[in-house]
Amino acid sequence: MKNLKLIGLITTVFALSACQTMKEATSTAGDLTGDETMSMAKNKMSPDQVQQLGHEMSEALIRKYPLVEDEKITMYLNHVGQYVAMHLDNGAKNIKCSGGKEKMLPFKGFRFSAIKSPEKLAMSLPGGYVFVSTGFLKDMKTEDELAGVLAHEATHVVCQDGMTEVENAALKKGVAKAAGAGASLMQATGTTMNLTGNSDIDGAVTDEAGDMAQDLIAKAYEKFFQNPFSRGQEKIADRGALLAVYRGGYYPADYIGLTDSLKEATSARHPGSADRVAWLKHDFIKMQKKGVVDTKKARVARFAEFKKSIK
Amino acid sequence: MMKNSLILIGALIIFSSFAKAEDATIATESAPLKASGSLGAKSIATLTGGTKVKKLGQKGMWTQVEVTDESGNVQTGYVSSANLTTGTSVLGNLGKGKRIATGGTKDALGAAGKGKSEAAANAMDGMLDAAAGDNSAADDLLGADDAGGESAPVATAAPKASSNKTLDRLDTIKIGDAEIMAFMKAGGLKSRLLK
Repeated sequence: MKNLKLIGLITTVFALSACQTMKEATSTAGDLTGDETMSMAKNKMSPDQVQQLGHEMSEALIRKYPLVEDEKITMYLNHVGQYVAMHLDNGAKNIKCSGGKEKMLPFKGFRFSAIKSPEKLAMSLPGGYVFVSTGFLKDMKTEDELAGVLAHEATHVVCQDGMTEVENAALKKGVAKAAGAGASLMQATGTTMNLTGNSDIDGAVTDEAGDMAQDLIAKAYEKFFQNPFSRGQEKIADRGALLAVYRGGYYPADYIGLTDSLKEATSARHPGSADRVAWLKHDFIKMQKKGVVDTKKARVARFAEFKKSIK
Repeated sequence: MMKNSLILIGALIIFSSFAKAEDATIATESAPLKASGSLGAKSIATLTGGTKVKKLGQKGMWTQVEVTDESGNVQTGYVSSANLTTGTSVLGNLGKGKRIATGGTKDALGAAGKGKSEAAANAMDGMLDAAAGDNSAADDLLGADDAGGESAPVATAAPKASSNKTLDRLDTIKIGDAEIMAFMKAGGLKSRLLK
């Protein structure tokens, strides 16, 4: 249980730093390396391990920011999110993920939900968990803006942003060897193991492996805390989001407008809203040549109804 | 000179034939095998996580694959590239290696829509089939020749019991095909991948 608490603390930190593009908070970017410059991990967590890790991290997150338990809100977010996620760029040509990561859909699909916070927060966690704060939702004017934000976060998930650090740390610590075939990471994420069938032996092995795994994951998360997603990753998430909303029939300019309205602090590694708007407009011009139709009036009523529910 | 060129060409042909036959694995819990590389294309089977496939080619966001079921029957179709991994160690705990799970109408969204009526599932398939075809509006965006799309697998069962009931509830949300399509229509949305 103490290990879970440790993981909880660390993962909350990770979650908070996961996507500072959508935050008003000042960036805490340091000089540590991020996905773009770190070498690729030779060992990867399996998709179901990533999903379990995301579940644990989500538990930690919602201890700090409680989930909004209004079924209408949750279902609306999931309708918008699932729909726009159907239109994500899953190929290799249009949008290339930073650091050479292959695109991968979350093992069990995406889950979208609202968390209680007056801050403007949007974040994605491994395994397809996407959270948006009530403070941010209140500021949104259209479903099209919301679709863009959810698509941005979903693109981070598909590109597995942040996972390289976790996997590299695991490799460095040799955790996979400690309990065999990545089982220690299963332990770290709270999954029970049955190695020998002898509970005393298994317990000792898994405790040791779990401690090691949590230690290394802690280190990886510390890096995350000091490193929001890189400029390259944010650019890809923006462009991926714009393409997804365009493909889904939403009005892409709304996402650009929302991005423009964010007055976040910038850093050497993290893009400011001016940069983001510039590259989004670049893509939008190409979309306009293909034809963009603004149909958001059809969604005004349901979005207003959704916003009324947000306390 | 001529001889060397022929050797080079021969080597390239041999290499490319090996490259085309690269193995990959389904990296998500399930993935629809589509008749063609399009979001609206009919799902001919559902491949379960860990299934080994042979990559035959690429069409935008879709990978053409060949899969052999437990009876030795070979089937070809398309899966979203983001459902696949070519990594060797990624599936250490996943490799259950089931082959084709079902035929018929089930796809990623369909799998998520368990509990929906058969009629609703069929209606969705009909809608998608009718809409399948020209994806040119989504082609060549951002300076590339990519097109197509994929239904992302949606929320299914909780991975395990957790200490947080609200998160468990989130994990169990299921949205079926018909529901998504109704949401799209009600909002006046027109998917460019279904044109």
